[in-house]
Amino acid sequence: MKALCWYGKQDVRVLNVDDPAILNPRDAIIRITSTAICGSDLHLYNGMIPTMQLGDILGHEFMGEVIELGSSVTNLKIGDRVVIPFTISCGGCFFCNRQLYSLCDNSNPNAAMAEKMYGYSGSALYGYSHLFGGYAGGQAEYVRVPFADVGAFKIPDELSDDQALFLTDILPTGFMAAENANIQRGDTVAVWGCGPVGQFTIQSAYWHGAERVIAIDHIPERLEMARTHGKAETLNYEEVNVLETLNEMTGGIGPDACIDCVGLESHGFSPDAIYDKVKTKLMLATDRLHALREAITACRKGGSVSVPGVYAGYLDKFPFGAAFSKGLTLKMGQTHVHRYLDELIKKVIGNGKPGFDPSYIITHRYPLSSAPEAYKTFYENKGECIKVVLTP
Amino acid sequence: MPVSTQSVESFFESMKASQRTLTANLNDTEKWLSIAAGAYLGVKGLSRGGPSGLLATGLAAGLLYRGLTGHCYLYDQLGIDTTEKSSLTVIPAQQGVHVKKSVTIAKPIEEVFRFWDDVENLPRFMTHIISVTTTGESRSHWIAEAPLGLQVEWDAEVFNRVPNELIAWQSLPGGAVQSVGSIRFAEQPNGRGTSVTLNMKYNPTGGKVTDAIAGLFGRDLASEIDGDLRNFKRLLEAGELPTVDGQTHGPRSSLSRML
Ligand SMILES: NC(=O)c1ccc[n+]([C@@H]2O[C@H](COP(=O)([O-])OP(=O)(O)OC[C@H]3O[C@@H](n4cnc5c(N)ncnc54)[C@H](O)[C@@H]3O)[C@@H](O)[C@H]2O)c1
Ligand SMILES: [Zn+2]
Ligand SMILES: [Zn+2]
Repeated sequence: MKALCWYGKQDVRVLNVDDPAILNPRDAIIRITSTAICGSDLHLYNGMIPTMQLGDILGHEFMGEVIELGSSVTNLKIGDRVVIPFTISCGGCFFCNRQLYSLCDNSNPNAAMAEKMYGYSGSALYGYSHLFGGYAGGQAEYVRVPFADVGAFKIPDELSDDQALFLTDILPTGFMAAENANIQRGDTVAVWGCGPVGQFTIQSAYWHGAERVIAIDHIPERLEMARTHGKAETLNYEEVNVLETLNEMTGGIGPDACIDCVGLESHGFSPDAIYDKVKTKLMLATDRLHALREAITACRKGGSVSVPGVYAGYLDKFPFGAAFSKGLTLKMGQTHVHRYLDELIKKVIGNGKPGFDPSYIITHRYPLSSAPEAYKTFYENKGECIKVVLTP
Repeated sequence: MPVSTQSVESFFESMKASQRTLTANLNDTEKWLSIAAGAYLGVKGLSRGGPSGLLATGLAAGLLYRGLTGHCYLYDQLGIDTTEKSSLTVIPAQQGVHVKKSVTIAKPIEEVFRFWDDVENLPRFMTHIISVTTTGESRSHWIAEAPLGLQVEWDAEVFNRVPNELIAWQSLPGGAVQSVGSIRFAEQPNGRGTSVTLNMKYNPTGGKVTDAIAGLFGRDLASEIDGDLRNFKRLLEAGELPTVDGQTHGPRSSLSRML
């Protein structure tokens, strides 16, 4: 089959590789019909995530049709149309039993490695380095889905691929980001980053009761999308002082909830952002965190900071004192995708009313064979290019 | 802890005492090292299933290299009601390699106990054990992988078994390998399942030498036992062991050309 393989910093190639095979009784093989490139894939593309191996197949946002089943999968049939959560979960451990699927104890074959780094290991992820299990990803024609009986969700025929694809990751990620922000009716929510995760976080903030959403980025097209589709007020951080403006916009109190949809490759031009860039270049710190610092500093007393943006290592100049003295609640982590799918499938279908159609974020489409070009465009042209869908 | 003059004095006393013990054990260790090294050098001459007792290797069951003297009977507090200074403990407790590890398994205690209690299940999660066969009331025969494609065999017996609480075993004299181990089972509150604590001790005479020799073979016994216990949990909770072995990928060389 054709698959997109990783060969180092900004070097990804579409190659002919062996087809995937069933390795365990709970596996399934899926023929992929649609797959997307995620902001998280850019961290791999830029060599920010350790333990990648040459030839690793990327991709964790994919859906398709079941073509082969292991002997213990009884709740799926050949031909079922399914979306696959990007977190791999066993369904039977302490964490899965509590719906903390992205913290599954049993899916990462390299859990011992992750434990050395983090004390405990989270779940495995598709196509996201050997630290997270080394599973082959789905930017390919076929993929092996482990624990398919809990890790493949049938979707109704009435949903197109475009409508269903983002259930794999970014729609539930936006939803959980809003849930983690403890939003109360009437709240003002500030969202850093207007990438796909930011866009769906804005929408989810309203679902959770927000009165106002203020979205922050520096890319005009993304801010535009946040205004038109997201009904958010927007701030361009290159044009205004974000902290002062948020303070004014909230009558001097600060946003009730602040959500960092940027993660470890945060940009910025203030002294702290430049300092971060120098430090990461010098390998003195691993993650850049300008947006996170701002979110913590901006948040009102007693408010919540939710962090769906990915961090991997050590943070420098993290304003923990501000978080402490303002009595903030911080919540973060990989998304427990499985937990939200039934609810989100309903939201997309709409139950009588028009459903929420997440496909508006798609700006670019490529055949899988052009995936390297797609990565390059997504990386270099964040203005026009918001979400890329690949078709095998 | 209150610090009195008395306790400081006794602290220095015990320091001196342990120094004496250390010196004594060092000699043992040296003796052991030569035996073990000899065994290592002689290993090439061993044939599959050949003379046992020369060399045992890093085995999931927590094994030990045994000297040729046959003095290495080991017992400690594992499953036996003795203290660290028990007369049964030929080798001081601080010697040898002791591995202790706990995991919690989200399954009822009866199920967890039953699975371990059936020794023939053990090779399903102990990576380097080839087979375990029941040979008597509480006895079993073990075959394990050894380096250089060899196999080692030994017999073991369960000397303490309390249903849903404890299983303790030891290897029997005459085999290639000696070890003492126990696993304790405890029910956790609120449907959390069962915690199991595995205690393994091996190599009474060699001290840390065992690990050093295992290192020569590229194995780390403690992390193998760790992995086996993790597998045990995974087999019970997920019904299978997660793996990416044998999965597809692109060539592992950057020379691979684009389509
Ligand atoms: N928690 C999860 O399970 C999960 C799932 C998916 C993605 N993610 C993470 O969410 C983050 C966003 O994903 P995405 O796909 O939207 O990525 P993206 O790269 O498309 O979007 C990030 C946006 O942040 C903006 N930005 C950069 N610095 C900023 C700053 N200082 N202030 C405000 N905005 C700034 C960028 O201009 C960009 O528009 C990434 O870190 C990704 O890894 C997490
Ligand atoms: Zn993603
Ligand atoms: Zn699990």
